[in-house]
Amino acid sequence: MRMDFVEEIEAVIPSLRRYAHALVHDRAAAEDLVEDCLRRALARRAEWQPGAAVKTCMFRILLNRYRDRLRQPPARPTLVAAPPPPRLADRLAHHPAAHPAVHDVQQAIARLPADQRVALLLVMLEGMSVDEAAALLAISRQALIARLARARAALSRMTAPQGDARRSIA
Amino acid sequence: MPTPPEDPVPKESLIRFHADDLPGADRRALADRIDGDPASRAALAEWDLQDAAMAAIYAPLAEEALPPRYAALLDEARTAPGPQRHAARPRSGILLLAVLGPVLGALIGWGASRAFWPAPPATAAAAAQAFRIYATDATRPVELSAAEAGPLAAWISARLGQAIAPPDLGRAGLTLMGGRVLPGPGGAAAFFLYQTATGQRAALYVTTGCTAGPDRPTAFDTAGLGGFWWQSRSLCIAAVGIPGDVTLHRVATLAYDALL
Repeated sequence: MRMDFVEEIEAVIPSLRRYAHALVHDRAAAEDLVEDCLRRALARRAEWQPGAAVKTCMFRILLNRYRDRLRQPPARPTLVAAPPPPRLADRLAHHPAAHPAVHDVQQAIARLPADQRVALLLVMLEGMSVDEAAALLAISRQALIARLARARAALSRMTAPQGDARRSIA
Repeated sequence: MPTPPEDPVPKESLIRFHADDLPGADRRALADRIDGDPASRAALAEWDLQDAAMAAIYAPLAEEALPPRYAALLDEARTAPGPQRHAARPRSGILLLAVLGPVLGALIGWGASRAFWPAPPATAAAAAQAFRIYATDATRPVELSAAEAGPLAAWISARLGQAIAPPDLGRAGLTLMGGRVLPGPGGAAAFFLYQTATGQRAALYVTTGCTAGPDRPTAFDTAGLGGFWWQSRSLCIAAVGIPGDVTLHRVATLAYDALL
């Protein structure tokens, strides 16, 4: 039984929210981005074909809107590092021993160049394959792999303990 | 004469290895090289930790109820006239679905789907085996309990290489007991155990390296156990339990939505 257009869009929203929150690192801005994306996707209802890759289309819309917003002068500091939302902070506080570096990783990802953050989150958080992520970003596989390598190296540098002399994999 | 040390593993190869982007033979060959390269092993471990950290923070977002602002937009789209008008659910049909839903679900899920997948696939068989062993374990059915849901999601995400958190199956009358990592047909597997208020149990089994499977929950049954399995991205997922104890089709539908 195939889902209808609205059901397919509804099924993508959880992934879209997860990605948007990690991408813009600001709860209100992330929800605005998802809502903007949702409105635009629903407006394309007439173009929808059964079997179309709705998830890919919605991620593409979201990334286009995200890039549009990056080009605009910020009305508020939504695209820079900020403390995690209180609910998330509370959750982390309950198991700091499990992941002492969780907050460091989150902050480091927020400081990555946008193109690296976009690519890395598609793979690390959304579990997209190299082919899927490269197609979504309209870049070659090689370009995506190079971007991921730069992002991982930068993350490692930013989260390394002060004075850590470990050899970087980059 | 000592064997000369191999060159370090190129970072692009390591990225492809970590992203599960290498064909089987290449992956096995590279795994052997990584085994002998402490720097590569350390990098992979660090990347696993990075992924687990992000999963611990953001995966639960995908489990939250749909915010009202989105639900309102979707409801508006369902009732708006347009090219997909026929897809809108008629109000009068809701009651009918509520009455007939379980029956139709059972007939469609257990009857029609079984016809397409007559033999339990490896994932379903592994899920059923895990259920037999752990769901009946009176002492320690789970390794980490639901009270440690965050560390459980982080652990499983790190071992499976992608963000995976136990979905909320409350709408099927089930609460999470906890979970553990198990060996699976394609690598590490996640086992999440749930329980109803009266003690009936159901489990979700998630394994990586999935190359083929139905894209929708599809019924299977094996030696007294039943459930549904499907493929999502590179994951094979199975919902398993004792038919009649819990509404397995409902469990599968909720898990399918949550793990898409």
